[in-house]
Amino acid sequence: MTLTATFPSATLRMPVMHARYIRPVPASLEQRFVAGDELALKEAFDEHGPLVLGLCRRVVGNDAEDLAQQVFVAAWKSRHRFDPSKGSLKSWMAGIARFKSIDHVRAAGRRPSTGGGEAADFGEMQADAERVTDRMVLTEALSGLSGDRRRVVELAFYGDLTHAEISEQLAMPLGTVKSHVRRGLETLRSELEASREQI
Amino acid sequence: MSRSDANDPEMNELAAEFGSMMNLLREGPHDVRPETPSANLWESIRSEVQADSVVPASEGKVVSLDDARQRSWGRRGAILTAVAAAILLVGVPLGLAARSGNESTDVLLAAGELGALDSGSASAADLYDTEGNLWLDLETDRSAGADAFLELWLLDVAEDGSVRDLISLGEVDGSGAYDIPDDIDVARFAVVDISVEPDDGNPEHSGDSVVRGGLS
Repeated sequence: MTLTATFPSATLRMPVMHARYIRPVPASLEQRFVAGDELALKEAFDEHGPLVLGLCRRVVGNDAEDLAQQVFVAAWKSRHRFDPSKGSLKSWMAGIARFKSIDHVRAAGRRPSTGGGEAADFGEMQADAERVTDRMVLTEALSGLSGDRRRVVELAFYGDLTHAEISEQLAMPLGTVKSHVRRGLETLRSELEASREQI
Repeated sequence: MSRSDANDPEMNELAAEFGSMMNLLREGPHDVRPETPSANLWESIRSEVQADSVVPASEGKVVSLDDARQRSWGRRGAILTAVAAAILLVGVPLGLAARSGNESTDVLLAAGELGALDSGSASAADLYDTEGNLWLDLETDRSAGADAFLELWLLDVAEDGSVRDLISLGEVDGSGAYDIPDDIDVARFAVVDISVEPDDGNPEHSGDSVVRGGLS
């Protein structure tokens, strides 16, 4: 293509009317994903790929990469079903990983080469996949809560402190502690529900 | 029941509503270990997604893109017009006063970050107006493999992400200036795309885009 030679490079780098370009309102990763921006898929992969792959590895072992591929392709094809107002993309994708892993385990159990004993364990493996996914979604959602709320919920559940003890430890009014715990749990429940959405 | 439940009436109340979830939470943070995916994994996803959506013809879904950015173009076009008018009113006389002779004035209209769609590096394209002639200042370190070349495109993308129309700005030969034909409305063709084109004589978009981004 034509290399326009009439513009010296100094002019290129320092346009006279610099800083006049218009900045767009940035759309969130979630919005761009739903809109079908392939760059958003790449960003989602960079951001959530390690966790999705880790989850798949934990549930199905050797076939984790294949499964993670299925998860991202399925997420992309069903992107119109993702509703950013209901929960995060991370939880939604973890949920797809949940269903895909369970399908995978079920299919493996049906294979003739698999011993009958393993097939009988399907129920157990399914319950394990559910539990691992739920815990992952909850932990990730908890770490996404804002500062004070996250600390309060962590102390209540990981630290097993009473509301009164948290109030004392953080020098925070009891009513504020209660409100943080309740609202924090409501957020976590929404994320858990987002991860149980069938695509 | 945890120690705090026994001592805390508030917890009992919450347990009625959030019961099993609270028990899961008490098991502590999850033990899933994040695992860095190999580059192959992304390439597999990308090729499966593209194979599914690409019809490399102008009426087909060559690519799907961010409609939010597209939607704001109408408004942005108006702003650009206003800015252009302001530049004409203020900039040109100032420019003429400040500069001697007939040196051309480059006005930066929009900047585009071209994100990578594969595992390679990003590129950038800035849109300039030089006395009514539009051109892109492309910065890229991309090159095509054997038996292929890179081609620069402007895409007109619909709200649903499908490509309504596209025009080729020709082969990419590294960073530099690339002219945009006079009759092209950049408010409409607002997405810059670089594709890898096999040397097969087919002038249509291959569907294999490597970087892409909206002008904004």
